[in-house]
Amino acid sequence: MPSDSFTPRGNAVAVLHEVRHALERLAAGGAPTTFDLRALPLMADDLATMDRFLGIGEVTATITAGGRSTIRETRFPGVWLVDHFEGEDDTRPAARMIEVDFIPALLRTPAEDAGEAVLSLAESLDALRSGHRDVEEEPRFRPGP
Amino acid sequence: MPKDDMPRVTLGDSLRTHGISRRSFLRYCTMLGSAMALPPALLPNLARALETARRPSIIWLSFQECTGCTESLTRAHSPTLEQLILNQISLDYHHTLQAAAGDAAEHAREQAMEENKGKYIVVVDGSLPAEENGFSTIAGISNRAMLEDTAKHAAAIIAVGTCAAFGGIPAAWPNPTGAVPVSEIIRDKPIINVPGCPPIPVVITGTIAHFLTFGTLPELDDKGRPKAFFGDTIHDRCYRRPFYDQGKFAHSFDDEGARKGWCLYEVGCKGPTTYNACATIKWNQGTSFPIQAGHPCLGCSEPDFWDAGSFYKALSTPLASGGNGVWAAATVGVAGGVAAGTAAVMRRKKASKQREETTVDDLKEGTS
Repeated sequence: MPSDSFTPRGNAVAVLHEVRHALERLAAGGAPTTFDLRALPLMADDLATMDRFLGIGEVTATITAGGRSTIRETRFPGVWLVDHFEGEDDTRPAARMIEVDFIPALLRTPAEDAGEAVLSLAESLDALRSGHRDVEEEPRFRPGP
Repeated sequence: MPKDDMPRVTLGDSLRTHGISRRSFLRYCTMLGSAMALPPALLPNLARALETARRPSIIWLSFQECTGCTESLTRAHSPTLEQLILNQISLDYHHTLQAAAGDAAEHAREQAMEENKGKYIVVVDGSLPAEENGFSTIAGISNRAMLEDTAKHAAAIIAVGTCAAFGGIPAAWPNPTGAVPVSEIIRDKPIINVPGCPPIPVVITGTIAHFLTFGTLPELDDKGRPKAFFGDTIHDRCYRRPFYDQGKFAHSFDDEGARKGWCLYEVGCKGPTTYNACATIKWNQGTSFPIQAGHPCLGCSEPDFWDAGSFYKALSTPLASGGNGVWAAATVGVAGGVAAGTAAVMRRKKASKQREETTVDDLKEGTS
């Protein structure tokens, strides 16, 4: 039956209940929780049905930083599905996490990076003023593999 | 006395120099921590600790080996966590990878030892021949003397590959060089065994990362292997396990069972007695592992795997009578009540004693 593929079974149900408790903690006190799905005894079918059950929310993002990671807010705000891929073209994630948080850690700009960006932005603007227009096009880090 | 601030450069500094962003490092650490089976709550700690860890000095010694372990690490898909960690550690001495040769190479080793006294990690691949046989020397220094000298002020030793961990193929019958593993020579330093022929790359880097992060050895099993990677048998985590439970087996490599992907137990799979992470981490970017490719597990991360009967006979098949002495050698070490040091000496003597001369004619006979 078509509806079966959307119905979590087995350990997926138990994990989803844990996610519910984590979401309660987040809503009540802001405490984030991460679930490493590879570390849990889930079959491929469990993962697939859980994926469909969680659905797609308002935010999807791709991070290209030494490899590719995809981040998707599920239809339950505060519950994010985070997939990490080793190679650029991999279709199977090397690690898969559920993050229960207001925003996943990987999406936030590291504070030190923001501090360094103050300098690099100032340098770029100085260069712009002195006529070196191409300076700001230099990537700060390699975008990916 | 070693200088406390040696080496000064942190892993984070080094990564930044090489154009690796903090976000990409956090990403790597999440994947590494997951592979290391760390609780997810510890993952930010892993990133923080590795970021601020000083670049460790690594002295890599290769003895009786085939370079497969180094290949496993360096030929991993690029760029991977393995390369990230390996490139950023201070690999001060590695026969295969270093540019220096001769005196300059040996000087690099001595200098790394002096500058990082008590803090450096020694990685060993390959087994050690008996001293008196004169096999395998580097720059005129016997393997044993080099290991003893280098290990003297090491923080820990990582025995990479089955040869360094258990003797491996050089120690297989007739053990022509009287080969023994690292643990038979060094008794007073922490030794982590990372066996496999070769080991999975992330198991090597995960072990180094654990040491850098927590400053301690990972939890080890009774054979000195990190439990995070060697806690389950291949059979426990094999995707073909349900067929074993249902009694569905391949009886040959081209029968119906083989074609349907049933359990390979009857064609010799050593998965039930082999502890390793191949079934979960897999190889080539998690693409596959031997059983998935239709070949039984050889049990390469277990002691004496080369002499454990045929690769293609079921585990339940009795070994041929007569044996070859390897089993006797293996039992010497576990004899109750024998002090570990004495047992080690006995094992070394035994390994030396059971060594058989192999001539060119023997080799010709073996191939004819």
